[in-house]
Amino acid sequence: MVIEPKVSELGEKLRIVYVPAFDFKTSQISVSLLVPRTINLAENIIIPKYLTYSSKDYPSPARLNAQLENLYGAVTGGTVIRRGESSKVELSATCINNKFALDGEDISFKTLELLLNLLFNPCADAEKFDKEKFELIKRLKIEDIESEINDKRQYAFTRMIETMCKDEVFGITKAEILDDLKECDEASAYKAWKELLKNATVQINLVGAFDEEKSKALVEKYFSTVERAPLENETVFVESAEDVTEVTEEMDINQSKLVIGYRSGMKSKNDNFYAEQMMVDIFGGGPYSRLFMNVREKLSLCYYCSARLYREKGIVVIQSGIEKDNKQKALDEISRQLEIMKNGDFEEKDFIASKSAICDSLRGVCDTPDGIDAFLNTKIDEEIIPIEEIIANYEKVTREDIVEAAKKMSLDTVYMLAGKESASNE
Amino acid sequence: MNNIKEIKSEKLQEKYYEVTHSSGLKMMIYPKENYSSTYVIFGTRYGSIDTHFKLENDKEFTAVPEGIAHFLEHKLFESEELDAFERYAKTGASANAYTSFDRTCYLFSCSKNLDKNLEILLDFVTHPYFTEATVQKEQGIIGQEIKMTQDEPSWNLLFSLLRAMYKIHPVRIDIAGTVESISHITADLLYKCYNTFYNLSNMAFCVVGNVDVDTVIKVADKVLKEQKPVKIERKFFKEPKEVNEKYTENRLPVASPIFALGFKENISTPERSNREIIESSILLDIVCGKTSALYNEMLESGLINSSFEFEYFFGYGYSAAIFTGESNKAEEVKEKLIDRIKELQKNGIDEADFERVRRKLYGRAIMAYNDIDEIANNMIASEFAGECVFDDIEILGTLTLEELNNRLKESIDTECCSLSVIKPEGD
Repeated sequence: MVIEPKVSELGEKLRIVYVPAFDFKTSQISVSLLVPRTINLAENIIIPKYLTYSSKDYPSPARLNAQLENLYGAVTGGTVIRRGESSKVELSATCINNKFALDGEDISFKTLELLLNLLFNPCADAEKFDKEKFELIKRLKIEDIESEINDKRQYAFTRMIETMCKDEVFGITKAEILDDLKECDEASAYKAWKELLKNATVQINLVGAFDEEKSKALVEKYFSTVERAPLENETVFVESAEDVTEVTEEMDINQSKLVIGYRSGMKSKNDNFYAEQMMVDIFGGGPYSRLFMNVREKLSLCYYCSARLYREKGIVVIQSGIEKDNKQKALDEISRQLEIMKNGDFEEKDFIASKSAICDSLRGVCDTPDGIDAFLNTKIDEEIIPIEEIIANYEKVTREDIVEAAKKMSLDTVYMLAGKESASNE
Repeated sequence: MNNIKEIKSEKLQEKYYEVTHSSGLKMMIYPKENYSSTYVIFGTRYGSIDTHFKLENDKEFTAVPEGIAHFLEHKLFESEELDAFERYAKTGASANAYTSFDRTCYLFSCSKNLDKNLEILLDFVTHPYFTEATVQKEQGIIGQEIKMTQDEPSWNLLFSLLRAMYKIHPVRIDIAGTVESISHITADLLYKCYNTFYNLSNMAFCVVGNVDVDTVIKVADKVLKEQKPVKIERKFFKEPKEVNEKYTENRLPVASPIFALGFKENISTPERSNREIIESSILLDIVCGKTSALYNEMLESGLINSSFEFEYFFGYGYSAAIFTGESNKAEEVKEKLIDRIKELQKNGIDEADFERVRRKLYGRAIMAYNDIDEIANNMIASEFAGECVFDDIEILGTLTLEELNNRLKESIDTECCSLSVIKPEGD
C-alpha cells in the first residue's frame, strides 16, 4: 500500500504522525516516549505496564478490560525496549475500523481517548502510585526478567551483550536492572512518570481511519497539561574492538549456543547504513546468505546461523545453535565467510539475492497498520522518509560498498553457552 | 475445465474466488485491493500425527518413523538442479515452510515477480528429489532443530502434557520426532509418504493480496498436470476417555516452576466444527479471561503472573482445553480452575459475560482480515477442516447462551485432566 504520512509538530520533540488509511480492518495507535536509558531505568520498565493495567477512571483491570471489550475487543499494550542507549516506552492500541462498529460509533477516537487517559491519569494519590497495584506490577516485571533464562537463545544473546558492552550503557546487566527494580517504589515511579512526560521525545502514530483535527486537538489538550523539557538521546558508538574477549559458561542444555559480537565500524546509526545492512544480510540474513548456505547447508553444523545488524548501536551479532564439540569448526567457517566478504569474493548472485529480498520485503511493509506503525517507530527522532526513497538507497549500493563495510568489521566478543555433557547424549 | 466460484461475506466486506483446477487442486484466490504484496501457501493434509496410513489398494497399513512429515518438508526444497531457496533468491521472495500436527505448508510472500514465484512453488512441491546422500545431510540439521526445541521449556511442557493426557494418539509425539527416530528415515520411505499425501486431491492452495485470478490459473495450467485423486485411509486411534497420567513432573534450567493443565475432551468424531471451536474459545475466556474475577484474583494473590495463557487445542482425533503459566502452586491453580468450571456448569453462564466476550470476538474476527499471512493460514486451516473461513463471523451472531451452557457441560470433564509441571533444577 502506498502511504502519505502527515506530520504535525506540536512542540519541541513532540509530534503526531497521521497516516490516513481507510481500507484496513483496524486502526492502530501508538505513543512512543524516548528517554536516555540511564534516567529512571527501572521505573521506566514498570511504568508502561502500570499505566495499561488500570487508571483513575478504570480503577481495576476488570473495569478496563470490560471497556476494551466494549470497544469490540480493542487491544492495548505497554512495553519498554532498549533502543541504542535510550529506553523507548510505548503505549499502543489496536481497534476495529469505524465502519464495522454496529452502532456507528467513532471507535478509533474512543480508543485514542482511552489510551491518552491511561497515559495521563494513572491510579495515584499524593504524588505516589497506588502501592498495592505498584507492588503487583513490580513483581510481574521482576518475574518476567528472571524468566528470560527459560529462553536459552535470548539468555545467551543477553550474556554476550553484557560482556561485549560491559563499560557502556548498552550493556547494563540484567542483575543490575533487577537490583534497581527491587529498590524502586511507588513514589519514585510516580516521579519517573512525571519526568518521562517532561523529558521524552514523543511521537504519536495514528494509522487508519481517524478524524484528523479532532484527534490532534485531543492530543494537544493532554500534552498542554505537562511542562516539557525534552532531553537529547545519544548513543556511544565504539568503532572498533581493541581485543577479543572469549567467555564460555555452562548450563544443563542439549544444544550449545554460540553468540559472536562484532563492531561494525559505524560512527552513528545513519553512517553508511544501507551498505552495512546489505553486507550483514549477504553475510548472514536470509537463506541465500553465506552463513546459511555454508554453516548450515554445506557443513550441517546447525539449524540456524544468522547475523543481524543493531543499527542503533552499530554492532553485528551472529547467533548459532551447535554441538559443543563443533565450536571451533563453526568459528572457523564463520570467520572464513567473513574473509570472503572482506575480499569481495562473494558471488554476484548473493549480492543480487540480498538486494531483491530487502527491496521486495520493504514494498510490503505498508500492507498492515502495525507494519506502518513499526516503520514510523524506527524514525522517532529523525525525518520520516518515504519507503520508496529507502528502496532507492538500497538500489544504489554497490559491491564495492559492501566490501568497504565488511572491511570495517572487527571481532569483539565470542560467547558460548555450553551444554554440560559432551556431544553424544542421543 | 477450471470451475470458478465467488465466495462473499457481507459482514466482513470481503470476498475471494474458489477455483477447482483441472488438475484436481482446490485453489483459493483472494485479491486485496491496494495491497502491494502477496502471500501464498501450498499445503497438504499431512502432519506429524499421520504415522500409520494406507491407500485404497494397499493391503496393510504402513507405519513410518516419527517426525517423517517434518523431514519430508525439509527435503522437498531440494531438487536435482537448483534448490527452491536458490530459485527464490533470484526473484526476491521470502520463502518458508512449516509442519504441524496435521498439515504441512509451503509458503512465500513477495511484492514482485508473482508469476515466477508461483511457478517455483507449484513446481518444487510437485517434483520431489530424494537420495540417500541428501537424506543423510539433513539428519545433522534436523538433529540440531530437535535439540534446540528440547531446550525450550514451553515446548517440553506442551509435550509432557500431551503425553500425560494421551495414551495412544500420535499427538503425543514431537512433531520433528527424535534424533533416534529420524535416523530410520530413508529416501524410499520419503517417496512412499510423498506419493500418498502430496496428491493434489489431498492439498490446497491459497493466494492472498496483490493478485488476480487469471495470473494464478495461467501458472497452474502451465505447471500442474491432471492427477488421479487418491483415497487415503488414516489409522484411527481410539483414544480412551481417561487421561494417561494425572500428574507429571520434570526438571529443567528454568527460573521458577512452569505448569500446563489440560482437560481432555471426550470426542466421538475426529473433527471439531467451527461452531464448537468458537464456543470453546468463548467458554475459556469466560472462565479465566482477563476480565474474569478468577484471573484477577489469581494474579493479585501471586498464584499466577503475566505468563498465564489458555487455548482450545484441537486437531484430527484430539481436543483439549489447555492452561499454562508460571506458578509455585500449580495444584492450587488447578483446583481454582476446576472449582470455577464446576460452578459455571452448575449455575450457568452469566448473560452479560457472554455478550461481552461475543462482542470482543466479533471485533477480533474482523481484525483477522488485515494481514495477508493470517488470512491465508486461516483459509487453509478452514479448507482442511471442510469449512469456509467466512463462517466464523456468522456463527458468532447466531450463538445462544443455552448452546454455550450445553457445550460447557459436554466438553469439559473436570475428572479427565492432567497437570504437567517443570521445576527448576536442584530445587
